[in-house]
Amino acid sequence: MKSFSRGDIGVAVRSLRSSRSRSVLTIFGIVIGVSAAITIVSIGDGIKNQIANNINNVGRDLITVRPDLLQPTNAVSAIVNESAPGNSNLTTNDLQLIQSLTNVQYAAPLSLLSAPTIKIGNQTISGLQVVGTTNDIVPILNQSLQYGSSFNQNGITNDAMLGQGASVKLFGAGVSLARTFTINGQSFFTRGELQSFYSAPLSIDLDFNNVVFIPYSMTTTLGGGTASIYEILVKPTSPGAISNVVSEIESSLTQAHGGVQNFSVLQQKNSLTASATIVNLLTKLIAAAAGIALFVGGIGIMNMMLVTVSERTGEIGIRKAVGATNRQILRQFLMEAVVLSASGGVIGVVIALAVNLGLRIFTVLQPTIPWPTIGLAVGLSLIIGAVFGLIPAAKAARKDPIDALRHQ
Amino acid sequence: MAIIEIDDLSKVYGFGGATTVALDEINLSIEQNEFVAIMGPSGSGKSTLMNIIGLLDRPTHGSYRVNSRNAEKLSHNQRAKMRRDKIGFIFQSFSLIPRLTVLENVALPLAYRGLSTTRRLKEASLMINRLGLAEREYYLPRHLSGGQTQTAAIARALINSPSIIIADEPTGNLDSNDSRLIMELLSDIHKDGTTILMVTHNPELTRYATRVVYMRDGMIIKDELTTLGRVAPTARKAMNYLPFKTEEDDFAGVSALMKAIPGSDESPGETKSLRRPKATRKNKSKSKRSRSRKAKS
Repeated sequence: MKSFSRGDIGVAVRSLRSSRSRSVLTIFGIVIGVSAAITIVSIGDGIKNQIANNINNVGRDLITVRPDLLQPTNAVSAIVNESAPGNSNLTTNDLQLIQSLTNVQYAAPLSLLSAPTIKIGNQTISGLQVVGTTNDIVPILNQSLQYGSSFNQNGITNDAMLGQGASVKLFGAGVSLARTFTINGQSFFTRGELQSFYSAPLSIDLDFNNVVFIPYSMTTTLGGGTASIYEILVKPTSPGAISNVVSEIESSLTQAHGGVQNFSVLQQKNSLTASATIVNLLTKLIAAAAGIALFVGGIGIMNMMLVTVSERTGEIGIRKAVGATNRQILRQFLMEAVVLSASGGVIGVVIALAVNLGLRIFTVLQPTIPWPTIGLAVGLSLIIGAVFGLIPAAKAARKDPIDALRHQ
Repeated sequence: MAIIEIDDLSKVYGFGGATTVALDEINLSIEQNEFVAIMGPSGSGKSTLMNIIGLLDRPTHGSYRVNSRNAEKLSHNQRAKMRRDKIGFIFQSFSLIPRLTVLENVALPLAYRGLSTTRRLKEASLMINRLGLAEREYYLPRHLSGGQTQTAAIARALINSPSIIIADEPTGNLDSNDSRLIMELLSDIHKDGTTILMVTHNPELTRYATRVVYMRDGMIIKDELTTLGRVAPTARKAMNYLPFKTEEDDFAGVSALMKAIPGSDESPGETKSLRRPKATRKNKSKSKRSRSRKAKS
């Protein structure tokens, strides 16, 4: 018996090959289901990893103060509620208040300039964000300058620090230091260029690589008198002081805002939760769709096997005449269904790996290879083949040998 | 000890008023190494008898013992194993699996015995060699001549060294040269000690048999021993009615033969209407040709 089962797979492959186009069309459902499931899970895991890396890079002790109340458990509203520049209720006073707290080492504002016009000569550069801040931003983000220095403290306000992406967009591969450009007509002088930031896709944070940092006071001037603070980043004196600092900020700012807590104080772990929630939600949705594709694929396999069994009635008769037991016939057709769906699963895995590679090369995504998911998908396709192949195989096994022989 | 023992065996198809008696209380005992030719018109129950002897079908009542084992008491699996190890089938329509090569077709019964692929292909190759088909091992059945196809089918029937070969009109689809080839092959197998049961419409082929059983309406109407190499006496009488060598003429011959048997009430008028209801594709054109020839004359 054992040696027969070894040959089983070969026999199954042979008979499937004899109706190749039908076999290929039949396994489409399985292929799509498996590749979609693996791809989505790998992208999701990749994003979660990237966000975690991001957080490790800026430090787990980073505290973010944002205007309006954020619901960190509800990821979608976390994005939607991100206050547009211009209606922030965080002020310079709040910043000073935070800076004065005992356990706070650094605190820097981030003030987004809405719709900035950046020009070099007459050439407009697009795709960059202009953020007003202070020199503290550099240590807060665990960053250092690659070239040059931070803002001049001697009352000169048209200094700028560039992220790597901003530098390339403005000056190409050339040197960016000591060159000038204009923002909303105001001339700026590049004083420093920051090291590359690690940026994660789908992160709810800004991509600092594409940011032109200017002194905070300048955003007020450029924005026509209203500078809105998008967020205040705070670094405590020690990681152990995080929760103390959070509660101190909450209480002092609430007091300053007249008893209304119209801001939120986020720790890095909240930001991780928010991103992970989006990713998990998407993963579940696509996994459900992939599950449906697998089910439909299974029905396709059953359909094909039923056709195969009735087409090969004569063959079943011959096999029974030469001594095949019902069980051996059942096994032959079951094996065919399993080989069919398993090959769909394997093709699906190969496609998913190819997509994975493509995403790594052509996008910022860094999808992981989720081996457990791959195992699960292949295992599931085997099970689908066995389950949906059972009815046709049983039908084949039950055929009366004389009727079957007459069928030739 | 008889290898096949049949007592009062009947087979009835259908229920209630619409029953057909395919076999009517048949008694038959076949010894080891007999070559039995079974003759009779279509619907006389020959194939039903072969199917029951070959353990493909079960009788309605009566007893059948094969190799001293009561067939009635065999389970599904045991019957399959008996078919595999003790019985070899040869069909009129060859019944090779079209997708598989000659070698794989011949090796098929060995697969169900659980032999490794290498071993069964080796054994099949030896058998094919023995029957002189070595050059066609890797051909698909559709690339073979009729005689070669039937030779391959015989190789498959022999691969498990069965004690009984059941041949249901083995030459029915073959021309006279191929027929002779196949019959010589069966004759050799018979000489090796195998019991052969062969259904045929051609009285000529009784030359190869040691015993001829004539059937009609589900009953055995005559059972005679013959000498190897000579047409059976009863069948010989029918030979005079055989001016042509076509299948349809074979039927005419059998019908005439039935008339020659004492106790048979076949009337000459019925002779022409006796035609096989299920002619195979290959024969259809043949029958048409002979029919039109008859119409001209």
